[in-house]
Amino acid sequence: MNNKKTTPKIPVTIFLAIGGHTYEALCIVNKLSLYIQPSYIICEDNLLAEHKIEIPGPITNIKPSLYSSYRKITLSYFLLEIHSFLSALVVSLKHLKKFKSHAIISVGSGPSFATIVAAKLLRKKVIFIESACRIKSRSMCGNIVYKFFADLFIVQWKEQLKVYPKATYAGRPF
Amino acid sequence: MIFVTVGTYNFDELIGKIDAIANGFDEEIIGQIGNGEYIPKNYKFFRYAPSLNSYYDNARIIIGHGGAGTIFDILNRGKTFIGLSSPLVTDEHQIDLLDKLAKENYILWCKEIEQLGKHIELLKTIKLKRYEPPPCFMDKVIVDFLRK
Repeated sequence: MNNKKTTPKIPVTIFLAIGGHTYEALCIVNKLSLYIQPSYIICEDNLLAEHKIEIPGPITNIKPSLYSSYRKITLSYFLLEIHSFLSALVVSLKHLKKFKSHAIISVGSGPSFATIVAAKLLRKKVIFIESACRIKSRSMCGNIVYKFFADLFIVQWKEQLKVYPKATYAGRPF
Repeated sequence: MIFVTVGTYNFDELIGKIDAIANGFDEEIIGQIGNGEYIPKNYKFFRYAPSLNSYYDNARIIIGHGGAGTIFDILNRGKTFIGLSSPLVTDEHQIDLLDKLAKENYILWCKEIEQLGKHIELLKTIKLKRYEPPPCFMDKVIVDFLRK
């Protein structure tokens, strides 16, 4: 972190799902502004996110897929979601290639799952930050990403280290 | 001004409850009602706005759900917050967050929506603690990891 001016910024893709998660993600992006060149993947039902971005970068919209806490996941629902999952996967692959992202950062959101899988397929780093709304439990997406996908898994409460023993706690940017 | 916000989705129970007690307050009430079906009759409202910042900054009290984005955005502005857990969230994680922050005395947690009016009155007598974020070195952790 010493050569702030000479070190080139690292291209990183930020996933912006629903409102609250967007607030958390953008607080983190603002703190990283000296070090990363962000690009954004935004869920189409989160159009207000675009207005909240302070560190500009290219934006790709995707159809939301795989909600965690706001929908009950049933088998029929899951099958219906496969189409949107696959299209989100393809759009994410294109985005990550086009903007040469080194990593994806997602804050605790189910819809980012397709983008996380895309990042893995392209051997990009997956940084998953569990939402600060979680203190004593795992989110559905966090649980799967923690087990199988995350290269760096961050929690925002010390209490969460009991829930995710291998995670990193590094405070909260808000 | 009392500002009521539901965030991305809706919270008709809250918007309706405020409507039922709105006439009892001699203070302006403004609601952000999201995609809710309940239309308030007794206070001004809108569905979404590109930014809620000016509403937050002008409010004396903000009432909303237990989502982290909403709560921490409000607390970092030094504003007074009354939180209720959203019935849309299927597990109880909003309760965990509301419980934690209420125990620290940063917010007022309204467990029963019927008690909302009482909680608003309660703020005349009790004082909440000003929120301070914990030390944060998340940027360093992420940058070090990216450069590995």
